[in-house]
Amino acid sequence: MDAATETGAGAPDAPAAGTTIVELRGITRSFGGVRALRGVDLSLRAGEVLGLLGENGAGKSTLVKILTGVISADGGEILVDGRPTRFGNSRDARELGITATYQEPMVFPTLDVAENIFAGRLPTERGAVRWRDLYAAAKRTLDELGVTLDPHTPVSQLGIADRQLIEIGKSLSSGARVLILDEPTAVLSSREIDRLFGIVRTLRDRGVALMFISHKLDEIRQITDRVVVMRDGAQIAERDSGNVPVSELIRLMVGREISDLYPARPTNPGEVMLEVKGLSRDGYFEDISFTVRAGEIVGFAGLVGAGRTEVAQSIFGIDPIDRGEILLEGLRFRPQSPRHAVKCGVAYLPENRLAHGLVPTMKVPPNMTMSIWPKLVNRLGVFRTREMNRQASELADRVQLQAGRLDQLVSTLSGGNQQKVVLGKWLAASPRLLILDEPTHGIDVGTKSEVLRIVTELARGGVAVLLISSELEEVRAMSTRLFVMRAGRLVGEFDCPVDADTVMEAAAGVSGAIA
Amino acid sequence: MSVSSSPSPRRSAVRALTRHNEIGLIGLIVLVTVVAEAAVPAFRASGNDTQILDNAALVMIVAVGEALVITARQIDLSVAATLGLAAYLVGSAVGHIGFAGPVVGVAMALALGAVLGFGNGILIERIRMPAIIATLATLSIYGGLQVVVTHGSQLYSSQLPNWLGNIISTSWIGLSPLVWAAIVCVVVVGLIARFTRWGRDIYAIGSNPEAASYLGLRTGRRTYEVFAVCGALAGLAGLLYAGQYGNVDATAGSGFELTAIAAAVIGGVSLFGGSGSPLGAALGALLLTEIENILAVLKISIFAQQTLQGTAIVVAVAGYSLLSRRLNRPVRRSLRVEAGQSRPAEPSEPVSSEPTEIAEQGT
Repeated sequence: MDAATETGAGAPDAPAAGTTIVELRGITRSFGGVRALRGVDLSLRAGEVLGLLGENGAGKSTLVKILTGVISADGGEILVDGRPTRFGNSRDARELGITATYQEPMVFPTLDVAENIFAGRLPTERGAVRWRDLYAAAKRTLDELGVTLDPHTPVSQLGIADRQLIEIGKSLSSGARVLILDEPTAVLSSREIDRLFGIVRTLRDRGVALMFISHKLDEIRQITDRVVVMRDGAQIAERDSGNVPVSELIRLMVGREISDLYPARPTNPGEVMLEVKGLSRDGYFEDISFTVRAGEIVGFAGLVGAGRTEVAQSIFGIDPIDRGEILLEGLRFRPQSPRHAVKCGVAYLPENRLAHGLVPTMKVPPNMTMSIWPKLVNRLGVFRTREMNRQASELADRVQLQAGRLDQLVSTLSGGNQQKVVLGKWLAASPRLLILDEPTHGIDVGTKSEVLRIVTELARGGVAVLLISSELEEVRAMSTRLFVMRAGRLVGEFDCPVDADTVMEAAAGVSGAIA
Repeated sequence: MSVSSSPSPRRSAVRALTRHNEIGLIGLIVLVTVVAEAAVPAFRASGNDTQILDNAALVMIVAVGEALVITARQIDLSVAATLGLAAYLVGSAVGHIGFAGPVVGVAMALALGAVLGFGNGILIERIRMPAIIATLATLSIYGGLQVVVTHGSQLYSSQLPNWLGNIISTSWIGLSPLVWAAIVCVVVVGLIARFTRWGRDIYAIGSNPEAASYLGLRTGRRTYEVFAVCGALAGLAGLLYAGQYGNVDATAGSGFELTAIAAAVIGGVSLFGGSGSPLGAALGALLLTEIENILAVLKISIFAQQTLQGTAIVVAVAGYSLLSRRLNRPVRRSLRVEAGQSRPAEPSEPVSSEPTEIAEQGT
C-alpha cells in the first residue's frame, strides 16, 4: 500500500458545510464524587470552527477526552453522523475521524518526526514498513503545514512548539473529519500561531469540523465561528463569535464581572535586591545585565525561546553560568544548586509547574510546606504532621485556594489551583527574590487575577519580583520596569507604562531603536 | 524566525552515526580484536575466535529478547530461570523424540519460554506489578521449579540426541549451528523490530506509553507479546544451552539475566525505553563476551573479570548519556544563530503586520 493512498484512506468525501458530524447529548461524567460534566449538549459541524471557552475545571478537558474516546461518559449519547456510537477506546474515535491535539503534545521523543506523524499507521507493504514512503509522506505533511523540519530529526531534539505542530500534522495526515485543538497556541510564537490559523482555516474550508480551546479570548473571536461557554461542567451559553463582546465572554465564563483584571503596580521600590552583570551561558544567553529592587516587579518580555527561562534557571542554580556575576543585596552570589539559591532567599516558579514545581502524587499540605519541611521537624527528629496541616491551611487561605482542595492530590487539581499551591509553597519560604516563569500560563481569567494580586501584594511587602511572561498585556500591566529579550540578549529596557507596540517591536527585532 | 533547526553537515553526520550506534560498536569490536591480536598471544590461539562466537551466541539470543522488553520500557529478570528450566525440561524431552527432533525440540523450547514469558505479562499487565518486581518474583518461582523438576539430578550429554549434542562441534560454512541459530534470531528479531508495525509499536510504547495509549495502540496486548517473545528466546537459548554445555543441573543459566541486560545496555538499548536495536544488543553481547575471553586468556581472576564487566557497563551508559547530552545542546545553539542571522536577510517579511508574538489578552 502506498503511503499517499494510506494517508487519504480515512478521509471521506467532504461533507456539505454545516452538516453535523458529532453530536453530544446530555453527557455526564463523574470522577469519584466530583461531577465533572453535568449534561453537556454540543455539536461539531463540518466546515465550522467551534470555540470552547471555560475556566480551568469547567470540564473542557474531560469533554475532549470523552469526544476522543480516551475516557467514556457515564450518561448521555454520542451521535456520529446521526448514529448513536460508543467509543471503546481512542482507536474507535480515530477510525471515525475524530482526532485531537492535547495541551501537552503526545509525542514519542525517541522516535523521529516522520514516525511520530504516522505513529500507529505506518505505511506497510506485505507487513514491512516502507520507510522511504514514510519519509516522503511526512515531508508532504510538513510542507502542507509550512514547516521546514527534517522528517529524520528525533523529536527529543525539538522544542514544544515543533512538537505541537507534529501533533497537528498527525491529525492532518490521518484525514481527520473532526480536529480538536486543546489550547494549541499557548506555546506557539506569533508566526506559528499565524500558520496554525492558516491551517485551521484551510481545514475548515475542506469541510473538517474543528473545535478550538483557548484561554485567549481574542484568538477565540478571531478564529472561531461559534463559541460555547462552559462553567461547572455544563454549557451555559452559545454565541456567534463575530459579534460577541469580550466582556460578555468573560462574564459568562466567570459568572461575574471582573472589573479590574490587573492590580495596581507597587510603587515604592527599596534597595537593590538582585543585580546581574554581564551574565552569559554559551549557546543560551549572553551579556545579561539588570537589577531588581525590593518591592519592585521587573518584567521580562520576549518571544518563546528568547532565553528568558534560561536566565531564570541560571540565577536559580539549575543551569551553570559561563561568565558574569550575580549580586544579591550587594553580596556576590554564585548559585550552585536550587537548594543553595533557596537558602539565599531566591524562589522560582517554573514554567512547567506540574513537572518542576510540584509532587503530583502527594496531597496539598506536603506540597505547600515543602520549602519549610526542615522547620517542621521537632527536636526528636519527628515530623510534625499537625503543624504542617496548620501551616498549609494558613497558606491556602493566603493564596485563596478553592475550599475543600486541601485534602486532594495535587495531580487532581486544576491548573489554576496547582499554581496557587506552588505560590503557597514559596510564600512559606518567605523569599527575598521571587522569579515567576509564565505564572498564568494556562490559567483562566478569574484565577489569573487572583494569582497576580497575590504577586503584587508580595512585592508591596518588600519582595523583589522578576516576572517572565509571554502575555504582553500582563507583563506590561504588572511591571514597574520591563526588559525585552531577543535571541539570548537583552534588547530593551522600558519604564512602565510603555505601549505595546514598542515592546513588540523590540521583541521581534524590527525597530531601529533597538540597541 | 524559522522553526526549523538545520544543523551543520558535520553535526548531522555525527548524529547519523549515533542514530546507528551499531557502526560504532562494530568499530569498537574490531579495535578490541586488533589490539588483543597484537598484545595478547593467547588470544591468537587457534580456535579462540570460534570459542568467542560460541560463547557469545546464547548471550546474543537472550539479549535480543531482552532488548525488545527494555525498548518497551520494561525489564525481564526471569530469563535466566526460563533458560534453565527449558534447558532441563526440553533437553530431557528431546532425547525421546525420534522424528523431526530439531523442529519439535525448538518448537517446544519456544513454546515453554513463551508460556513463562506470558506469565510475566499477566503479573505486569493484569495485576499491574512493576516489571522489575514481577520478574524478580518469577526469577525465583521459575528457578525454584527448576530445582524441583531436576530433583537435584543432572541431565548428561549422553542423554541428548546427536543433533543437539554436536551443536558446537559441527561446522556449517565455518560456523557452528549454535552461532547460526544466534544469527538467525538476531536477524529475524532485528527485522521485526525495524520493519513491522508490531516492532514500531514496541518503540512507541516504550518512548511514551501514555501517548501510545492515546493513539489507540494496544499497549496491554503488546506487553504480553513482548514478554512472550523474550521468554521464547530465553527458552530457545535454554535448549541450545543443553547442547552446548552437555550437562544441565539446577543452577544452569543462573546469572544470565544480568549478562543479557548488560549486553543490551552496552549495545545502546536505553533503559528509558524507545531506543536502541536488537542488533546493537547482539553486538553488545559479542563485545562483552570478547572482553571476557581476553580477560580469561590473560588468566585474570574471575572476580576481577566481574568488576571489569561492571566497569564496561558504567563506561557504556556514561558514554551514551554524554553523547546524547552533547547532541542536544548544539540544536538550540544553531537555532539561536539562525534566529539572529536570518532576520536581515529576509526584509520581505514585515513582522509588524503580524499579530503579536506576545499574545495580548483581550480584556
